[in-house]
Amino acid sequence: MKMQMPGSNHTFPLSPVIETIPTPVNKTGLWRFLTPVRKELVSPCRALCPLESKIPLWMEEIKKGNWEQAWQVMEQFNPFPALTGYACYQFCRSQCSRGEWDEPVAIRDVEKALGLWRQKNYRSSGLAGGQKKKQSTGEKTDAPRIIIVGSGPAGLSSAYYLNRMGTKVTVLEKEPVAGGLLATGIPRHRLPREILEKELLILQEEGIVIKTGREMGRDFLLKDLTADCEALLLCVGAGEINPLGVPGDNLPGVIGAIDFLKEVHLESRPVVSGVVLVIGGGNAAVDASTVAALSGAEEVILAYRRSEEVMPAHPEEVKAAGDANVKFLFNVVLDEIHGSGSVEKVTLSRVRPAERGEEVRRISGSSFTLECQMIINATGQKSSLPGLVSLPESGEAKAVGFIGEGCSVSAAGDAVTGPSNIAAAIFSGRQAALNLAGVLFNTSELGEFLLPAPALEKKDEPVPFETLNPYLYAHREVSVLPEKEAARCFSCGNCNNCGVCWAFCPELAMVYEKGVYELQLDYCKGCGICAAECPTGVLFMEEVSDSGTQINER
Amino acid sequence: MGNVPVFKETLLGNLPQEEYMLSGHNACPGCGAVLAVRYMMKVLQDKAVIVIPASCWSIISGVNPLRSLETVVLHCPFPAAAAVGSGIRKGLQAVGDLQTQVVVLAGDGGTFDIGLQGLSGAAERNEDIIFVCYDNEAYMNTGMQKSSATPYGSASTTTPAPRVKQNPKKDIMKIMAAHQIPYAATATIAFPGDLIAKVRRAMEIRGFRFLHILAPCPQGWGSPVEKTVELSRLAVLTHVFPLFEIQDGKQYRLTYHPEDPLPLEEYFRPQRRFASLEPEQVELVRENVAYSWEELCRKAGIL
Repeated sequence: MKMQMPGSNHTFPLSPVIETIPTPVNKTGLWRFLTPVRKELVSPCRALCPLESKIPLWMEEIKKGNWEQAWQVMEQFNPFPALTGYACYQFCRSQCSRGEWDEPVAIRDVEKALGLWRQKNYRSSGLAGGQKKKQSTGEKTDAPRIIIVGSGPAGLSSAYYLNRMGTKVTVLEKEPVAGGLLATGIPRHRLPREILEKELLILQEEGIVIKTGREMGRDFLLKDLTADCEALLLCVGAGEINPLGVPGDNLPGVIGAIDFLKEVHLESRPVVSGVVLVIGGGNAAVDASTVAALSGAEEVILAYRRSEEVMPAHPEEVKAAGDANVKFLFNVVLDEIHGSGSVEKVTLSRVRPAERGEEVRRISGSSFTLECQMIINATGQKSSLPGLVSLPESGEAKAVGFIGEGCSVSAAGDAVTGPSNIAAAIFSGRQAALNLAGVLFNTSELGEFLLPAPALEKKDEPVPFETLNPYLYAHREVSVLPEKEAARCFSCGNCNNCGVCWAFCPELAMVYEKGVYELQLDYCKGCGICAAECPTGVLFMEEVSDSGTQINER
Repeated sequence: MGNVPVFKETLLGNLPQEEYMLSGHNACPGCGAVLAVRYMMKVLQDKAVIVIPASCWSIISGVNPLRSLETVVLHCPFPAAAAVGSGIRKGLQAVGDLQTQVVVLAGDGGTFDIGLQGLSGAAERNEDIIFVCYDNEAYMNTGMQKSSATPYGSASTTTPAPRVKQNPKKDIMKIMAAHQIPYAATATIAFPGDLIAKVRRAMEIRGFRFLHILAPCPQGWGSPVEKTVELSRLAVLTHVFPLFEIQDGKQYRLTYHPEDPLPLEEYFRPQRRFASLEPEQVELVRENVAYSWEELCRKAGIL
């Protein structure tokens, strides 16, 4: 071979090109004795979420701006992200791995944004969650009929799922407005009522019939209903108040917290005035005192028999109460209520600080009196079920189904679990719907319909922070933009195709094909850098004999 | 193949998807030098002549007739890397090719010790080549003998514990800065975005360009194979190996500024070569690292 010099006729010889063989003929995968294996794990947020929502999955979609897909993931776990986005206690955030790095992800705010997106986009598209309704209400003649008693979060969530399974759902509510505690219990500052109304409108658009002002025992009897439906679901809540059990607890002016909140929210009560004493330390007590303070009470005093540290109310609620100028009295018990005709004053005693579950002991001679015009009893609620039907005593009676005269009757929500929170009630309703689906349908034929996500089979240990690789993320503050905030999610335990394994593989054994990263075992020497660097902690080095293992099955 | 949807949120930056390196090479599992060259090749692509003196990479690039790089590779004698590179550049000029990059890929032995005179000569003549030193801090290919890039306190087969190396690592960046070459930079494999940005920058400049890439060697450092990238990151986060670039030997710029340095022990602990270090020796290293960092910050105009 000769090559000509530029600008002259002189040529010079080139050395012959040596034939070379590309190294991929070397199957260096034979060196390997540990193989990266991908395992999907439970994220800390999911482990704490009463709904067991796969938070990293919908976060991932929001991060990419795919709101439609995010909604489709969310819907399987929680049909009302707008409601929980406002009123959930965000248990998820307390253990967020991002909290170990800079600040926890504002999960509830992103959820709220998704819920509002759904409310805004529902009407305009005329689609139910992106999926066209299979049948209109009129055609559902031979579909199973389901009656749900109670329109609280549990009732509404089971109604949503059962409706999406193609059944004919009627919801009965004893109050003049639907929503249960969402309408009558949760303070307006925590859940604006127009959000609830919009959600109820969507449910009615979907074909669910909601009848208000229909109370069991007054307007109908249980046995009348069983004749009219294939399944009856009781989501009657836990509205029975434990009596205070002190002299004078039947005087006018003593009222249960749930009843008080209901009267204020349904505006069936004259303005609150005078000094209000709230007895209890749970969310109902704190909610009631905040609402009383905001409705015009002169002074609101919350008396709890234990200390602030062990108070079961959520810190968010306590803060809101403090902001509303509620005064707290800790380590005091109610001895007696005095008054002729109505409450005038009470006698209280100081007690020694006690842990939860421990009996409180009075300090002798510490009693004092307090003038007040109203006493709100928030010392605890019981399920409203026992008066209606007899339930099995089983402790794990979350939505137990039992058959009565051709109609399967079951219960869900606070009626089963005792007083809880919105998310837990929605979860209970979701599980009840799933259980009923098993009774009413051959679930394998329900493929085209929406089936709610099943509960976690066993609560696996959440992904520990140590197995993540936060160093690949810059320290960043919480953002108000949902997409930016969602991008802060570490996606613990859920592969999000970030490609870090690909970037750090010295063997170039990780190949991106058809939307996933796949391991070419022919070349993986098993160094384990991918597993060590994976920011989501889903890769593990294991001894694997099967040569067909795929690192990424998604 | 389509686009790889990567690194939107992570600090890695956007790596080009195309690979100009092949699987099946002979590097040890967890090799840091492979990653360094893999990233570099993503930018250089196939428009470069790679000159490799004796080093790990003369094996990794393929024993005849194998090849693991998708470009022209020329093996050369140990001390002659920079001189051979200069010659190839002159040859390419002679045939009118000014586009092809000539890249010398040498280990720390071929840069700090045996190749130093060639390197210094080429740098002084301001030859139009890129000299890349992937630094694994000893003669790893021949069995972990110490080089002048081996840091103080490190054990090697020629400085076995407890009689570990007593002299500090040669500061090659200061030597290169003293030559006042157009561009010199440090990089490491845990920051691939930074690394390829520096290679890109080097390609835009003509004249002698020098890249010092720290490439941990799990075999020689006695560290777990999966910690290669982590150690590289720790070297930066502990200020042991700062990421910076120098233009014309004068303008210093820090390209990554770790706020508070991590404790030195975090970097030392996973490495067996530092196992025999006494706390007072660690303290000595800490003082040295702090001094160098401060000096660097002053030069970069940060302090």
